Amino acid sequence: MTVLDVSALATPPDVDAAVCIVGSGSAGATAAWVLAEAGLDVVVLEEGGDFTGPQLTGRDGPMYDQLYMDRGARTTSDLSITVLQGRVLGGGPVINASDVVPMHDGTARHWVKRWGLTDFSPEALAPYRDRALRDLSVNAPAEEQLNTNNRLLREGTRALGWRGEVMAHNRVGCAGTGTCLIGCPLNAKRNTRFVAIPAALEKGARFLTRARAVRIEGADSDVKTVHVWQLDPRGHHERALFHVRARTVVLAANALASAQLLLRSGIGNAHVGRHVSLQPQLPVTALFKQEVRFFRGIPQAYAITQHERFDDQQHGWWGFRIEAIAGTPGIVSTLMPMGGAEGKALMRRYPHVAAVLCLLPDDATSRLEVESNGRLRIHHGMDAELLGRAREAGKAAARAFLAAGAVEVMIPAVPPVVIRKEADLARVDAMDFAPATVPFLSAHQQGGIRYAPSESDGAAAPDGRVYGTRGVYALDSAGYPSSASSHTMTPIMTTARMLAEQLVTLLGR
Amino acid sequence: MDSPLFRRRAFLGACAGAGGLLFMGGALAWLRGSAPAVDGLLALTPQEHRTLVALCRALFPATPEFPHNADDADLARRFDLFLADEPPWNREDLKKALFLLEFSPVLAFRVSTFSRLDEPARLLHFASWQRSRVLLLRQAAAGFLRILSLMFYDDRAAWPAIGYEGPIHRAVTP
Ligand SMILES: Cc1cc2nc3c(=O)[nH]c(=O)nc-3n(C[C@H](O)[C@H](O)[C@H](O)COP(=O)(O)OP(=O)(O)OC[C@H]3O[C@@H](n4cnc5c(N)ncnc54)[C@H](O)[C@@H]3O)c2cc1C
Ligand code: SF4
Repeated sequence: MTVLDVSALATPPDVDAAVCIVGSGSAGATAAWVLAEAGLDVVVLEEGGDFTGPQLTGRDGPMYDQLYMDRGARTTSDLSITVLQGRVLGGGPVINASDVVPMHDGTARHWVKRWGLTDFSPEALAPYRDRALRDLSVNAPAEEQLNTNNRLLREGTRALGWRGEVMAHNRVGCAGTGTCLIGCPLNAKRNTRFVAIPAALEKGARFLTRARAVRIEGADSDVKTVHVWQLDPRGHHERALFHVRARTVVLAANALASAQLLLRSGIGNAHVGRHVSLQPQLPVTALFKQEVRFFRGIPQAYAITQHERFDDQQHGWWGFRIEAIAGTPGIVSTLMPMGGAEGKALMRRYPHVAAVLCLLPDDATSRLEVESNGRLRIHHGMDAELLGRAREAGKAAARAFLAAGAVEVMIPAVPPVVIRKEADLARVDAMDFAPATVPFLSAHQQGGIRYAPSESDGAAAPDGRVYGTRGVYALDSAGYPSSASSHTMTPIMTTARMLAEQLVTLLGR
Repeated sequence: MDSPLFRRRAFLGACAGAGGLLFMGGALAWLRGSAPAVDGLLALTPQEHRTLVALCRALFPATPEFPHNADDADLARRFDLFLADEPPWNREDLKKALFLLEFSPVLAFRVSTFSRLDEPARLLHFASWQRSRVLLLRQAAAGFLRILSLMFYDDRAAWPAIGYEGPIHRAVTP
């Protein structure tokens, strides 16, 4: 079996299968593997193309265009947050930063206690987490793999006496090209594309690329019909409609897209599209006298963990976390707050710049709306409390950089907030974060089809079945009631395998 | 790009307001003048192209240390190609934003369209959008700046000035 690029077909034929999975990322590929291994006839729909090795050219323009949902330009409706999500065979792991941060036991306990998800206890999740770690070939980056950006952050953290860590990752054979966020040209990420997908193919699963699911019909009948657009070879235009008929449909399109599909199909209760966590990230840059060249080496390896905790009564994981980050010129330039000669002068600092992202767990109060033409609207729920934590995180990042010897720290807002000494931190306190003035990012979307033991509290049962349907399951992070972790790939692989195994039992295999 | 750059109704309202004012004054045709034909445009009209070229030149001018500029990078053409592949709603939103940009100096009581302003004045006008109290204008400015920056700095010829040697994977691929 191979991967079928639907865009190459003159007329895509309708397809029958036992299970239709929408999305081939952390959740979809894992579920396909489990279900195909159990002998089920599985077809996976993926709207992205298949990109590996030298097709991953390291160029911002074509790679954001091809590897990201909405060409990397998806945002919340007020443009406060750029919402990043992979769109490629293998999903997010193809373009992610390869950090492996499993769900903390404290967060799992919170889900049991606060949300009644008794199936998600640390003990229940442990074997699936261990399996995910094995599938990812998890390992620690070697000391010499830490680039200057990550080292400077560590230096600052240590100078302040704060806690921090070098993050585990799923790279094997990494040569430090620095382009993880637009795909690894050396195929050095041991991810869905190179582990779960080949294994699922081997077991007979079929993967259709350039195939966009837009509607599910008959969610409460035995056989469901998924309406699918054949896309053009570059994935921008819808060409011809075809159908996949299956008794079971698995949503694994990434939290937002899974909820979007339900909303477009008019499936599910009033909780669909609500309780969304975007986990906003605030970028902070720093200028050093010496060259940093953050664009080479592993972009994200060191994290300040001093300010995060996992046992918050209301939220589980809470506080904030600060991680090094880097990017190719195109994407870095999108964070710059001004044009003209001044903007160009800022970009000329590129080799001397260091950068971090401040990761902010949120309250899962964002919500989704879908217009009649299918256009997704994302309404974020950043409130005063979250913006307060953003200020604290921004100041902590600035302190760490100053402690590491930065000449200047900048939050790239309009107008830019520049910090050269401790006293300047008051400028961060004065930030009002007006929409479309601060380039917040989101890379770890969760919620939208919240799992809950009772239909009155959520959109899907704890086994993933969407309330009001017979055989439509949400197996990605759409079901998460709160942020599972600062990094979602490993938690999603963990829970997707657990729920897919339960589904195999439910389907009588 | 599926990003809702603008709330449609507010946007249409603002455009209608701007357009209405201009029509009332009978100034539109005079102000706009005629834009030269441009070969091979896929999504933009010549008028929109002219506004975009003016914006690109203001955002990415040649400087002594960084001579590579918007024209060298053929930025307006790249943007037109990008727009042609966008879903209709984004294409329309961005085109309306160009319309609004072109005539918004008039709303600020200047007797000039955006593309007729000199480069420093255009940059100042753009910055006023970035800092505006009107969300719609901030959104439009942020949207244009992000898209155009990504295109400009993806251009190889921009790299020497920023100390970037380009992707190195060919050198290390076995
Ligand atoms: C820039 C970035 C960096 C990240 N870094 C890390 C990291 O270092 N560590 C970590 O743990 N996590 C990271 N993440 C998050 C992680 O990759 C994702 O949360 C995770 O992959 C989500 O898994 P998923 O299966 O839900 O969706 P995805 O992996 O996103 O897969 C969903 C797939 O579904 C497809 N799809 C969507 N809609 C449709 C449709 N209608 N029809 C057909 N196909 C559809 C998409 O094209 C996509 O390929 C990062 C994410 C981003 C964006
Ligand atoms: S840094 Fe390593 S994992 Fe990332 S793209 Fe380069 S070689 Fe691949």
